Amino acid sequence: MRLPRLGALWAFLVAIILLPSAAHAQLGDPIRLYGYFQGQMRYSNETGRGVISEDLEYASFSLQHLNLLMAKQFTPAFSAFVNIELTNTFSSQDGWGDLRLEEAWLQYRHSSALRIHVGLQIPDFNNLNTIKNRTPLLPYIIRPLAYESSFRDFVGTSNYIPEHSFVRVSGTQPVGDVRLDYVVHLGNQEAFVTAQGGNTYPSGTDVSLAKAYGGRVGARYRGVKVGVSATSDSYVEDSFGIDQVDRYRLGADLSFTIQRLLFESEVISVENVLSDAQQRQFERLSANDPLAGSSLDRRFYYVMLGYYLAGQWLVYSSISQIYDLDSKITADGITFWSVGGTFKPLEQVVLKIQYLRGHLDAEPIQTYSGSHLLAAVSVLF
Amino acid sequence: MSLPTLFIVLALHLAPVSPPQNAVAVVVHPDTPVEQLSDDDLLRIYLMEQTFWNDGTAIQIVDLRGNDESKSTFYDALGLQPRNLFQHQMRLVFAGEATSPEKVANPAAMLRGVAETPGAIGYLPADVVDDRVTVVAYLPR
Repeated sequence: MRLPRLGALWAFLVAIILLPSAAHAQLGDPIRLYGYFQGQMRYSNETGRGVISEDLEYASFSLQHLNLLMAKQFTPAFSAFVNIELTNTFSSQDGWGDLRLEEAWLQYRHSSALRIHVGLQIPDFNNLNTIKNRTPLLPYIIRPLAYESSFRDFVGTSNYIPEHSFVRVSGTQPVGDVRLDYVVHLGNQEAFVTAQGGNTYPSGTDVSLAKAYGGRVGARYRGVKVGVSATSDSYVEDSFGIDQVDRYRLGADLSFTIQRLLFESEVISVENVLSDAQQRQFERLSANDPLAGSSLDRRFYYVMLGYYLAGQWLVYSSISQIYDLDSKITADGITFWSVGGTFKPLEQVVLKIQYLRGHLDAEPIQTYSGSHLLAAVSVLF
Repeated sequence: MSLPTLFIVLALHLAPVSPPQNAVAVVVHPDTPVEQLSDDDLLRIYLMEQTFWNDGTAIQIVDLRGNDESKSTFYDALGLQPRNLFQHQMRLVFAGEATSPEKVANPAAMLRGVAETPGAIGYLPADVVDDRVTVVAYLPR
């Protein structure tokens, strides 16, 4: 595992060193190389009782994110963009964190009303999906549940939000003072049905003919932003081993700033449509599983209310909940609420503090409560 | 049209246009191929929907870093909130869709920045403007 990671890192570093000057000489505008990182310190105290009984208390530093962004404008109509992400104090030597190619795309911009992107992208879905890793834009250190990548295994974040797309058509149309936005995206079905490598398919190949598609329509008026999103795909439900379950995600988002008041909210509903045979399989398997829930559907919502104090301070409180109905442990919800604040001593630096409390009550199967105190610095460069 | 009326109309058209009191001048780099900009044009530029001038030069927004009367006047006239707008702009910058606004400390630096940066656009108290930049609008209108 280490060699490919190192190889990719070396190739990337060589590209950074060589590309700007060469491209500048041949194509006019230089590559813009920029990015951001967020380092954090956290103290956590967690108690679980039931299927998982564990008490944890620890304090740790980490470099949560480092994203290197490269943008190149070929002509006013054509541009390209690459986003490479290193997470959790990435070190191939120590086996820490991950190195990911988040985005690499070519854009054709006909006008602001019609833009076409091809290549690897983060699909537009509600308000947070495309900025969930843009740490300087977020007041949070730990993000709302469905968007927190460190909960990926625990919550199954990819069930709630689409993570990759490969073709996107989008645009903005002014109607009076209102901006109407639309996005349509198309991509592979998510990871469960992609090949893991071997002789038959290159790794990462979607071995199905079905594709994932979705979109968002929204409106912006002064400080108010509202939108609805939807996706459709199929996946292998891993808890019960049901193949090719049709999944529909529906989302809505509303955010606004009025004077010093900031409000953000989202809801996501994940609906699974089972065929008769799949439904029978689910009922048969769940009857033998004491922890099985009543359906495969999921719900998520979050609300955040913030207030800009004098200067560069923002204070906020937020709550996020998920209801994962496929398990009795999570069917009644996992709740995280937090209070926090940010301060910008410079345009490029955001200092953050957050207290977050998590709660799950599925007596007698499982209970969980956790407190997390976090401090972070987010830097854009 | 009677002769006196014609004279009055001509006089009004030929009189030098002076900015309203406390107005903000929207200024661009002198090589920019534009003579005037409407409020809709300015909204498209500051919302980063238009990122190039007609001659293919990239638009470079120059903005004041802190709070300033000319900044309030400019954004109020366009119905924009600087905090909201900056979040929107940075969202596009991080998405690879636009170039980050250039932040400067004061109107003198704004004047210098717009005068020396091809494709630049900014705003200044009207009495600070000189011939190093081209005025394309006065706000409020």
